[in-house]
Amino acid sequence: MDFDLDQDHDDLRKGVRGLIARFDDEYWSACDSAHRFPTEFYQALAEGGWLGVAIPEEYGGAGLGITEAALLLQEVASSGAAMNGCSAIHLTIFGMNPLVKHGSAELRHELLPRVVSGDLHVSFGVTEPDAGTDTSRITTRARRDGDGYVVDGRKVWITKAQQAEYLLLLTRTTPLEECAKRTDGMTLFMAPMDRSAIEVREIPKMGRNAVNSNELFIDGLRVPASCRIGEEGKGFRYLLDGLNPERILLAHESIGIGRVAVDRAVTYANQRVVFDRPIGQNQGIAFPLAEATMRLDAAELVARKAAWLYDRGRPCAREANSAKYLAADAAFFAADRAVQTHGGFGYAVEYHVERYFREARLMRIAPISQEMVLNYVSEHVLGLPRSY
Amino acid sequence: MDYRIDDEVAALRAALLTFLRERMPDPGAEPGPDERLAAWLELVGSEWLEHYTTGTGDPAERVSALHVAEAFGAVPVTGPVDVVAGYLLPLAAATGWTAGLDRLRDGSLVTALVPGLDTPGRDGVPRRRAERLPAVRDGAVRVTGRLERVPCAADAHAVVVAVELDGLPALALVETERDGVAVGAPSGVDLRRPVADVTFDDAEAAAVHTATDLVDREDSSAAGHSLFLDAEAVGGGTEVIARSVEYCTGRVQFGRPVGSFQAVRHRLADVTATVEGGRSLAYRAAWDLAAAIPSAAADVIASRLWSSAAYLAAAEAAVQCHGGTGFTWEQGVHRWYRAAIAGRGGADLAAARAAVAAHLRLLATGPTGVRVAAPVGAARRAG
Ligand SMILES: Cc1cc2nc3c(=O)[nH]c(=O)nc-3n(C[C@H](O)[C@H](O)[C@H](O)COP(=O)(O)OP(=O)(O)OC[C@H]3O[C@@H](n4cnc5c(N)ncnc54)[C@H](O)[C@@H]3O)c2cc1C
Repeated sequence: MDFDLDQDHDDLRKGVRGLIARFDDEYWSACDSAHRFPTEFYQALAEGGWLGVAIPEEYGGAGLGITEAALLLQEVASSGAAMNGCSAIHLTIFGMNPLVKHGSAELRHELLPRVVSGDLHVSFGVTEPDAGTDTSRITTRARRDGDGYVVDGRKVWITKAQQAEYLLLLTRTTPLEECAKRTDGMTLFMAPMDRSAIEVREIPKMGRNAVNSNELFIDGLRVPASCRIGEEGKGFRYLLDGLNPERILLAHESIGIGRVAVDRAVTYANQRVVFDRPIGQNQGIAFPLAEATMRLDAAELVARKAAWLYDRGRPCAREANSAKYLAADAAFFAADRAVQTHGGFGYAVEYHVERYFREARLMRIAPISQEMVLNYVSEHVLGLPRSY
Repeated sequence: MDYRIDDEVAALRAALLTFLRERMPDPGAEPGPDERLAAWLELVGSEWLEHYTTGTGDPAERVSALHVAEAFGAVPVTGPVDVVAGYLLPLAAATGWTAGLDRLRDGSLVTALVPGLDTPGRDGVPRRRAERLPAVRDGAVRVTGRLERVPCAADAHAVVVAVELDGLPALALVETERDGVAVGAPSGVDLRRPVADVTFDDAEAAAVHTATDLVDREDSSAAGHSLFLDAEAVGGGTEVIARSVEYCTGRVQFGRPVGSFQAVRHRLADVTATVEGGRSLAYRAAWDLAAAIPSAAADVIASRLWSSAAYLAAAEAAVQCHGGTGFTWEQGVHRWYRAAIAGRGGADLAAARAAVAAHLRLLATGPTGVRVAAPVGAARRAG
């Protein structure tokens, strides 16, 4: 085992920190309340070359691993940007994985350099009104039509659809009833967001409001066959490849939120004097913050291990799932304690911890709920019978 | 305690629920100031806010008033409902403040800071004491000082301020439009009752009231207010659980309702038990308070701690069991979740724990080494 500081990682973190220092809590608070996409932040990262951190060098990226991408996102979250910052770039950083691994050479060469330069936004379209946790239930249908496909259906919760030029879109090409396996018959596309065939409606929500979430009404969308990723019917399998890295990234994002929440709480607990002493001198205040830190530390270790395994091409589902679960819980605990430490001011917008709290809450639901992680561990790690 | 919710009380609560659902704007739709004030006028006119005051004497009446007040938790309403129904009206009635009652009833939006728990004294009995601002007579009575986080202050026409006048405790009603009154920007997670700081700089009071037993009445009215918040918490908790059960029964994933998964159903069952426990404790504390049982003041605090935690746990479970939908603005679980978060903050945890600790200390020793107080929640056998 070797827990020594890795100089490259340390440089990466410092580099990101320096670059985004000017996007402070006030900036994020303003974007959140105005429901405004953080364009300046996005551009700053693009110009610094950070958006392509995990995209292969031949497309202009840095070709680094999930570990580096994870550290970058954690750094963004812990700067106070929290999920407003992370969700703005999350898909750009690693969402292109199916395209990198299974997309055609033309598609890769056409799109990936534009992703790296920050000029192309892509959304991820899987969830539907009746298919949330249970992806096999999607009904958005792609039908062959000449040299392309025509897509009809509905998607919900699509992050950033208002900025997106393309949609990484999961469809059914064969209805569920005709498939041998529930996960067969789905096809993945890099579909153009043609506004004349896709109506986009924003979903008002509790938090992470700088980055929009949308409902998509897709009606007769034409997608050229060249935009198909890999083979027809294997779309779900391509997505599965991306699940572990996604969990690893989310774990790191959660840890970042937890860290900034604890930081703000500690600063406040040192400054705020009640009964002639800083409130942090009370065990009732200090211990929960100490506990939050330990929970974050533990989650961080599992998350790093998962990233390390993934980058070495080893199985990491157990670790990636555990990391997501532990980190989402630790982040929420930390944000909750930060609100409590601030007393009444905890729910005033000006102290920012309420924003962290709203965003930390999300991590236990999306993109995969805590319950589904427990299902995974029960079934695939412990060997218990499937419960659903 | 022998008590049953009879048909009449159940019908009253149902009528209040219908009124609130049909007539009051949804705080989630973020109604503007005019709409909020019009709704408040209608709510005051309906006299539902006064119902809680009817039950301050008789234990059974007190419990039924609490039962009815649960409707205010089930249906989130903008305006200082808890302050007016739970504190100001009972206080004005108990101290014979006619001018205050008139003002509370004329449809204006009047708010106040409800007194918080004081550091427990030697007798270990928890008391609620207002922080009093200085007032002087200078032609009129004038108030100076600052109140922090006053509910609905930005909408208020007037604030009832605890003052010290001529060396004695008094209440001053100050119109917010008066010179010398500054109300800060509203903030807070609770959409029903955003809070704001209010500063008085030699501000003239429109009315002043005093009574010989004012401080004791403030104490008992504030304890009543704490129970009102408990009623809102169990009402709100019950509502979010009911909504979650409905949602999880209809929402199908993996070919069956998500409510059939134990992770979901057990979680909802757990919070149901917790909220029901809160309801029983609140009813018990209300009964004991009205019956002047010595341990009642401590029971009221225990009840606040329990029901505020239960409400938060229920709202948490509701958000989780709704999946992504729980995160939407439209679906609306967040309205109760916000109320629950604010309620937990308002439970004044540190002071409440200190008061319960002081009560426990006394149970063990008593000021004279003799066991003097009844345990928290202890049943007093009749006769
Ligand atoms: C802000 C936000 C952004 C999002 N962005 C995107 C995006 O960009 N693209 C995209 O495709 N999707 C996106 N999503 C959707 C997200 O992936 C889903 O919300 C998530 O998968 C949960 O699905 P659901 O909301 O339909 O919950 P449901 O599947 O309806 O689940 C409801 C509840 O039941 C529980 N449950 C369900 N099945 C089981 C079981 N078998 N055992 C135990 N418990 C169970 C769940 O854990 C949950 O608590 C986003 C969601 C949010 C809130």
